[in-house]
Amino acid sequence: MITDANDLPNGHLVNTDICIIGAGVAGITLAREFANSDLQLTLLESGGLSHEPAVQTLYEGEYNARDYRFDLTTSRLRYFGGTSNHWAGNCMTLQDADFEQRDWVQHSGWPIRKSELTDYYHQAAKICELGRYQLDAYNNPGILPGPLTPYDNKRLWQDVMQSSPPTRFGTRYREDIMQADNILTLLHANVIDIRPNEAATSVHELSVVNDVGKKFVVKARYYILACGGIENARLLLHANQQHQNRLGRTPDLIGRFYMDHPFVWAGVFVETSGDSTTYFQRRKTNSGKYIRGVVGISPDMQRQHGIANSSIAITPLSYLAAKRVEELKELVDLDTDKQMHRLLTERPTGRIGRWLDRLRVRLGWRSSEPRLHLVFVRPEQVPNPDSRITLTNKLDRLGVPKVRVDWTLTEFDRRTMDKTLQIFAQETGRLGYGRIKNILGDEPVLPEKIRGGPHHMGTTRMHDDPEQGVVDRDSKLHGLDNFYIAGSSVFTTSGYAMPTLTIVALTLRLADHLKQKIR
Amino acid sequence: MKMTRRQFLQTLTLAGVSTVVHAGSKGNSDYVSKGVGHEQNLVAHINEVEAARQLGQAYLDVYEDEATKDSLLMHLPISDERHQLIIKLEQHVREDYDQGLLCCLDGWLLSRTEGRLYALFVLTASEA
Repeated sequence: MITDANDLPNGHLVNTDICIIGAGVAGITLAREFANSDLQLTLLESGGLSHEPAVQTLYEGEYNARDYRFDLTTSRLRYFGGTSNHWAGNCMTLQDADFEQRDWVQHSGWPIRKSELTDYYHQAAKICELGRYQLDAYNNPGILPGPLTPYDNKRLWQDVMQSSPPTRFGTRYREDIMQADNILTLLHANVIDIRPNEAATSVHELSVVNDVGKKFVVKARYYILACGGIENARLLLHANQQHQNRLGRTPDLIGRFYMDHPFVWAGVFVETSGDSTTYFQRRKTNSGKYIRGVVGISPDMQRQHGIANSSIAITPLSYLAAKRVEELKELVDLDTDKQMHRLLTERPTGRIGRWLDRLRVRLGWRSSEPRLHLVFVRPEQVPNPDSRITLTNKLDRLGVPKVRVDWTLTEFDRRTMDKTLQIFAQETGRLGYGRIKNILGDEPVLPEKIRGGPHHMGTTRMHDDPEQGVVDRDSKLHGLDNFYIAGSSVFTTSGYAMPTLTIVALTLRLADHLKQKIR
Repeated sequence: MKMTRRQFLQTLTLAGVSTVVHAGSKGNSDYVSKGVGHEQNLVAHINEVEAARQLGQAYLDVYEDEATKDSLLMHLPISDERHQLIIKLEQHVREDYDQGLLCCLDGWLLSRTEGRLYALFVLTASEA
């Protein structure tokens, strides 16, 4: 049943077995796992069933000055289905090496291995409505976007990104939630406090307020916080403000290690021969699903160069789509838009396309000059305790402090960007594909223009040691026996993979854990 | 100094060693050098002077210990026969890339062999 908390009377009490805070990707995935079970489940959603500007303002906050294109109120959506309501649908798995402790990457190492997620990734792929799915793209060339390029896989790892339709969890799975007799979904239900018991060994109850200011209480045997990478930290920080830091074993860790996937225009690829960019182009598979090739830095190279994981994207340019035409023109000192147009014209793909292209060159209809491509680097941001979410003194209209996001990259991240480009240049040069120009500059400073995913991760990170993580390997908050966290805030490290598929996989794993524990 | 578009393309984008040693532009059957220094052979086919000079100077600035003709020649292949020289140069370039022996010249990530060739061009041209 889905109902509106605005209709509840002041002082109402909801008793339930499981309370999930947040009806986004993680919350809905978890709720579906308990649909039609013997357990009573309550799903709290701050928004309604569609976008409401007034609700969206609850996301307002501050962020540091970096060119963070996706700000706090537009990068997330606060209604049923959460941010999946504007999700692009890009799906990848994290790699085995992403889970491992890497001596050269401080604070790396999940308490779980990727193999523990394998089955869940397969289930997640179905939930995200992906096509034929393989976890190990390199060893399954049948699903790759094109023939493998001859890159040395000890240097460059050829990966694949699959596209979800994209699945809008709020509409795709609404019926499942509505039809489940054991699930009560309360819309416009805003959690404003998480109250621990006297000994602070478990959560006693939640204080919730609806949109018209009436307060009610939810008491559950188990609570799961699933509000996203920033709000999870915000609610916990706020609760700890009210309860003398008694939630969690190491309250100071909450909000730290905030990570995103930096996305940087790092270079220009002058392609002189070969067909090396076809692999990167988005294409439709026989099953009607879209996939796209991605090239990452191999674990061997990461170790050898002492850098983090990282991936490369070559943007196929069309002139009209090139937002940075002026910058490019300046870079290579081109004279006219016409020249630029010709240089940026995309190389046709497919057998017939290439044949026509050759014919055009032969007939003099098109220049055979080298092509320019933009090279984007998406490095894994290394975990950094100084990159963090904190609370400001400003309150939202419900009385919850607004957040400040200090997204802080380091020289390590810059080194990863440079080395990524260098390794790519090494391989393109070795194969005679062309040459790369690094446009990041000589100084080891972070580029001015860095965009985020926006993928908000790491603020309640997973670690067995309470001194190094907020939740344990089961996503349970250290120190509380009935409080769990779902979503990308539990990521220990981020790899370069878009987080949604991993969020779903981890949530399914959490559901299995809870089923066993409650039984 | 910015490169012009023509310099940019001719000097840097024509794949491998042919970026500077453009076989089609000056080559002829009388190539075999007789009595000409190796450095002259090596730079004989550089056909984009300004860009090569710019990159060569950048190389000399970064690698001061190689700032003489002799030290540069120590690292470059030798052959009196044009075809062989080009093959050797291309092989050197490929090996550099394979082994990660790159230099960053004005942002361009080039093989050390390419950088040395440009540098040799600067030193040779300044003598001429």
